[in-house]
Amino acid sequence: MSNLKTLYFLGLTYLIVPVIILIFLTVFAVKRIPDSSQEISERLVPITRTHPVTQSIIPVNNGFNTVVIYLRNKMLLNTDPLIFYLTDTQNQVLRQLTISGRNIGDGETIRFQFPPLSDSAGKLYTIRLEAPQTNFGSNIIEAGFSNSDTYPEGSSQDIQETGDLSFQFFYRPESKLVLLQNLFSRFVSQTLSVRFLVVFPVTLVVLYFLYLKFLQSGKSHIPADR
Amino acid sequence: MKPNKLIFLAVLLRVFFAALFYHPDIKSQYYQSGFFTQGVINIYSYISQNKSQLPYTDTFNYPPLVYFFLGSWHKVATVIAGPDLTAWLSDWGSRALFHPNIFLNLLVLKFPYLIAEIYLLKILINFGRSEDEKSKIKWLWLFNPFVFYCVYAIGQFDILPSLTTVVALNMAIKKQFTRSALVLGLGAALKTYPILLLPIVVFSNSGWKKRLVTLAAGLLVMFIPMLPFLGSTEFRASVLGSSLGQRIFASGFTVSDQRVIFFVVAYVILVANYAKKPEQRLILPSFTAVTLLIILLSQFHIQWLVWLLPFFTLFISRSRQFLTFSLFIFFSALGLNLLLKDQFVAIGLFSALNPHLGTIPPLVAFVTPPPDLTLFSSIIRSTLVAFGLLFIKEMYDVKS
Repeated sequence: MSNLKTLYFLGLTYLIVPVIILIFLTVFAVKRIPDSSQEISERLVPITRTHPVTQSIIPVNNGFNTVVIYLRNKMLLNTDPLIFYLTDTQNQVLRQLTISGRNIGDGETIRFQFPPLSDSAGKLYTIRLEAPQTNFGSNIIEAGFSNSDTYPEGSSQDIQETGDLSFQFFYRPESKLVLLQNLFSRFVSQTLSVRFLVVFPVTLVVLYFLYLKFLQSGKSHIPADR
Repeated sequence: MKPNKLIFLAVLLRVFFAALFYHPDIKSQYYQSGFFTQGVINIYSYISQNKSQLPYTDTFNYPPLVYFFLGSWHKVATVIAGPDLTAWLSDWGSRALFHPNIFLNLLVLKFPYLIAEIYLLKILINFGRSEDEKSKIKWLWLFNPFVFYCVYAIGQFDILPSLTTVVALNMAIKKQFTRSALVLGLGAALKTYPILLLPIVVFSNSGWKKRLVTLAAGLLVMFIPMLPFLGSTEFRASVLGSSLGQRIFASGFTVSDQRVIFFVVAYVILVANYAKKPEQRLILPSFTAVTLLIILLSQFHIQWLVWLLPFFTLFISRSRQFLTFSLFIFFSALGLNLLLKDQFVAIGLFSALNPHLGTIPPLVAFVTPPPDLTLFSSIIRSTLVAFGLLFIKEMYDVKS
């Protein structure tokens, strides 16, 4: 009987520990939350020494700290540096990151993460990607673009360009309390959907009776080994 | 404490883990299998030909029976969860984890595993040789944290082939060898490894004619669902090219320009010994040893531990001496997998509850510059192999 009591507490631990881990991770591990995005990538635009790619943007939240861009390094042949600049309206460089072509795959999203901009909400910035050692015609890195204006808040600075760069922005949350509130409200909204309120208890009850029936009908069996 | 209350808690935990924990593999498998309901039979060619229009373009790496099974359940699941399920499965954008019904979808998609697990446990309990052993098997299984983690949090379908190996073992012990082979063939049509248990069943039979029939029965059931696809280049590249064989043939050393493959050496010794000595034909230890060798000598996925769980449960129920070995084996295996660059074996599992956790890099990425974990992984692997071999030795010692 005491063993069964131990099992009961063990089972409760399995329920409680994930909840504690979840709260801990939510408070201490979440460093970036999706902001805005333009995820359509219908064609590829080359990034070369004479042709940087630029896009003006307006983040929605404060704490803007990550840009994810769809890039393609065809056949993984390019090994040149690719420089990411984030500039303000005075063309002052706020953040700069350099990566190697070696770190860019044959069509994947690449993350540029930088120290957060605390008052980024609603401000106009420009993203510029430069490849100062890559000549046109050689093995080039290409960036995903949409064909039309799919991001009305900003535009490409290239006058011949009608579409927008394919990107996702993230921001660093300012308040841990807001994160916990979001976690709670998400849990409530997911569990209060009508279908879930039917499926979850029905599953629980049906499985419980199946377990009772199956586990209590163990027949005496032949020796388990030869 | 009433046992029924404990059983309710065990069921609640299962439903809780099934609904709240997410690994992307379950989504990709059901997304691709969903094309079955649209009349697509050869998913391998279909993906290859329509890559440019698909939101998720990875190949389908499982045998056709998995496609048919998951595809059929996808149809039923849509009735229970609503058409929204298909919309979520097709959404591979950055907002996919923010879907409003993700708990419901995950729970419904994992229903088959809940049912398979009950049936597996029912059979497993029958292996108990006394009421005490049966009780131990029941509670060991019901509250085994690896069951919650591997079956419901990771949410892969490995519980299905695992069930077939337990059913096959049960039949082999009852001397129903041909039936056992048929079930192993069925399991191998889902994941290849049960076919490696077939020689044990074949050599348990007496007489070469019966053995041939048993062998043919297992192989036929395994290959029949694959026959229409063998001519497909995409099928061969996706399934045969990324099969278990690639992983278990990796460990070994080179002699001249050939390789000595550790798994093959160990496997041949085990099966040859089984075939040669009728008095030592111990089916349960042999099933366990072959399955354990696959894990020890291959680059395994964490969910493959489900293959071992039923056998280990039986041994632990019989003697506590197996408990320490089992814990070392399972924790070493878990440690190895946590060092992989897959955030969804750890923190990412919580991303259905908090989608932002899906963007957190794997544990190893937290250390900068990234450390060379080769030596550390090798030590864990060596521990795993050592305890695995000790486990195998103990099994045969206890029986002999």
